[in-house]
Amino acid sequence: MSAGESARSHPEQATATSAAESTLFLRKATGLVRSWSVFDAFIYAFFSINLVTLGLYIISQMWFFEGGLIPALIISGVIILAECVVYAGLIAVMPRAGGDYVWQSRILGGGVGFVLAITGWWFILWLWTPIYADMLRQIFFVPLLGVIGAKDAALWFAWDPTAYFIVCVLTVVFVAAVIALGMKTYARVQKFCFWIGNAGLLVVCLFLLFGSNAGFKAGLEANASQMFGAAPGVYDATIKAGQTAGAITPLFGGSLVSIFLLMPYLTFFNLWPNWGATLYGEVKGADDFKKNFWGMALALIVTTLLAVVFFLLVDKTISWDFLNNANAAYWSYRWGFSTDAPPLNVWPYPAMLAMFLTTNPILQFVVMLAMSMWFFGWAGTVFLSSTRVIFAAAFDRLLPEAAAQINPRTRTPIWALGLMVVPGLIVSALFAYNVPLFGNPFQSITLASTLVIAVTFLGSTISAIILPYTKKDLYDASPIAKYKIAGVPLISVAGVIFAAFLLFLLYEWLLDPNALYGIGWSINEKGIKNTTSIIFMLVMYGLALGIYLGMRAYRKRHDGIDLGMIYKEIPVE
Amino acid sequence: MTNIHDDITDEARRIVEAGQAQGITLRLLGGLAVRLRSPSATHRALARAYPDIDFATPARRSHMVETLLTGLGYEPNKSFNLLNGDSRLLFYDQGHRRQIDVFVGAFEMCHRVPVAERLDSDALTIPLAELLLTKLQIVHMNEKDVRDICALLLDHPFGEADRETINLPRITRICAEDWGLWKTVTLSLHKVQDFRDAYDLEAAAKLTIIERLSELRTALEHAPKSLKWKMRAAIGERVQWYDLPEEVRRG
Repeated sequence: MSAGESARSHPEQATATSAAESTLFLRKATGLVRSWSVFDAFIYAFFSINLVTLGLYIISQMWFFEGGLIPALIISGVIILAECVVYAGLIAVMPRAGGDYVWQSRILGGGVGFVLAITGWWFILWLWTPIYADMLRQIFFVPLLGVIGAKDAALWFAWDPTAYFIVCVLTVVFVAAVIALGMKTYARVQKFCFWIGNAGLLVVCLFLLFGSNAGFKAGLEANASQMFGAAPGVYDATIKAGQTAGAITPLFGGSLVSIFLLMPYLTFFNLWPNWGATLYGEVKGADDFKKNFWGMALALIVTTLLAVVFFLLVDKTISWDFLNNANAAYWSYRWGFSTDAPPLNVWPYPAMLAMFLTTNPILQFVVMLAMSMWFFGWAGTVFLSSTRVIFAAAFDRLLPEAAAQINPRTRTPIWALGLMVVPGLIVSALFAYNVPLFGNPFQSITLASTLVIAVTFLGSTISAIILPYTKKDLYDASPIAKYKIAGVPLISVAGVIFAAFLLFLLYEWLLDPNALYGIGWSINEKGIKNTTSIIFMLVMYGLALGIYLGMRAYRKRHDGIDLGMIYKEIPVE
Repeated sequence: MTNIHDDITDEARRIVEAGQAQGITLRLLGGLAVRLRSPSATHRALARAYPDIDFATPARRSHMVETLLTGLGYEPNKSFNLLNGDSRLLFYDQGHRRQIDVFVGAFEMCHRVPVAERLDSDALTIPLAELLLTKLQIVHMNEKDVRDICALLLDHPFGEADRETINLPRITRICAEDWGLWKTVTLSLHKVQDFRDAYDLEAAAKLTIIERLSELRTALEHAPKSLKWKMRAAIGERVQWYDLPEEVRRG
């Protein structure tokens, strides 16, 4: 290609191609190529609303609803697009490591910002540690051990609390290692997992597409018996056990209200396209609103479509009815609502069920291994985003300086990781052994993991709504100032929509008027008043407030620093 | 009170020597390195200001750089270094309003140039071949970059080795592995050629620059290319082949 052709095909390069056209740039001296591309941020967002881990896990617990799953997936996805607008806007205005903490502390004030961000991005991730580990054992250890013929080991991992706790330890070791590799290597790891995991999912979908229900029944009988020692007649027995447990959730249909009532569960899966928000100080072009928005929105749209297609294929071959009954049989036993062990005596992992359509163990093993990449590419999200919030709080001197230090040789944020890992393992032990702390079994607080983060998001959403009015100069100088709807800033409009959604979720979780969620103080006489959940959350907020007040007083007395002044400045990049 | 020299070249030497004394390899790159290697950089037509000092250091001992430079009176950008320290470190000299940039392991801007592989070739700067490449890899070249390239080409012929010649096989080898870098370097050569008349250089000097630009262009054109290069070349300009570095705001 000649220089002239080059110039025509790529105008940006025209400067270099002919004397007549050449110009020089006013480039400043220092530049930085940030660690992550927009595509890396997309993969992070895509994995953060992870269909195979979060999605299949939480949907398996939703067997007792009257609203249709697929309309709930679509409607919630549309509403959560407003969250993408809110976060893409906040990132474009202040692309800083620490995300929610920086925005809230600078817009709402230091105390509110610290308490909400620290609880939502740090403390509550302790509870997510055993939840991540539960998914690891269900999609990795159990099916793979089953496929290779280690039936007893598979069942040990499936049911034994000590095995569960060991998986928790393995999870934090893996997560710490992958974070210690640094952002560039992390991006490479998640990219590898993204392609392999999706290839695995494609194979699973092809099996579902070309398989038949009769073939599945036969495969289930053969494989469930061989891998896990299930008794003959497992298909019919599972349907019966599920019906006894009260499995009713349809794939379609239901009133709008009943569809909305699925969302406090479903958001455990799809509320997180913004999960990379705290990392955007390290993403290329983070002040580009459109790129930020599409990075998150595409992850949400693609995942939602993928979920719809996947469950339609499940319905075609496995049948939604069977899967929903299997879910009900499994969870009603695990939660202690039933004393009858499920006929299919492991978690009904849909990808594994799809691979029951073959009896080729090598194929089953390879596909299950590929599917486990959905976990390994995603696992780092449990702590990675949180480390940036801890760093940002430490730079503001709200935490000891050590919290923002790294091991000079390995470049591992040892203290920040320690602050995640050690309490995470304590909570993991409580969760794995399902300790009945303060009156309720510990595993009953699973959804609190979503509630606390939703409160944090509400704080950032309120920040976004008032940003154009309280930080007018900052907003006017930002790339989002031009986006308005009927003269009202787009970020404020989207903020109001998303805030309304979050308030609905919080009302349902906390007051639980239909006795569905079991993590709040239900106003329904049949509902649960979950003291364990309430106390756990109050302790976290109390701890965060205590740290804030304590550090503020300490800095004033010992260092003569008024932390209130720090919040008047936007942190440096 | 610090011992930072007012003269930036003296200060650059002081840092390199202090690093050497502590077993830390730091080698200059950027405009100051050109100034120290090319007398023509002080020619009235090519002279320019040097606000920053840029270094390259190997990744394995980069953790000692922060201690060294802090000890020499520099203020680290803590948050930047924490998040980017595996590839870049930033320090400030508030008194002289200077900035120190340390590239760790490799030089990554519009393209990646493996500058840390041969830091022992010269006692003060990265080798001339890599130094020239760090300038030619710039997509949005500014006037200072063109002056630096002209100074390097004016004072140093191409050769097979380093020291006072620009190692041509090294440049062609690096570019033959990376089509994007090859592409940008090729475009940059055109750009320098276009601008050489803008500077008040003697005719002989301009001729030298043109001849050396041509020599490099020919060598790049004819060097055997890797499979990776050929595969990327097949995609061509349809996909952006460079990164655009973003400014780091000091707040």
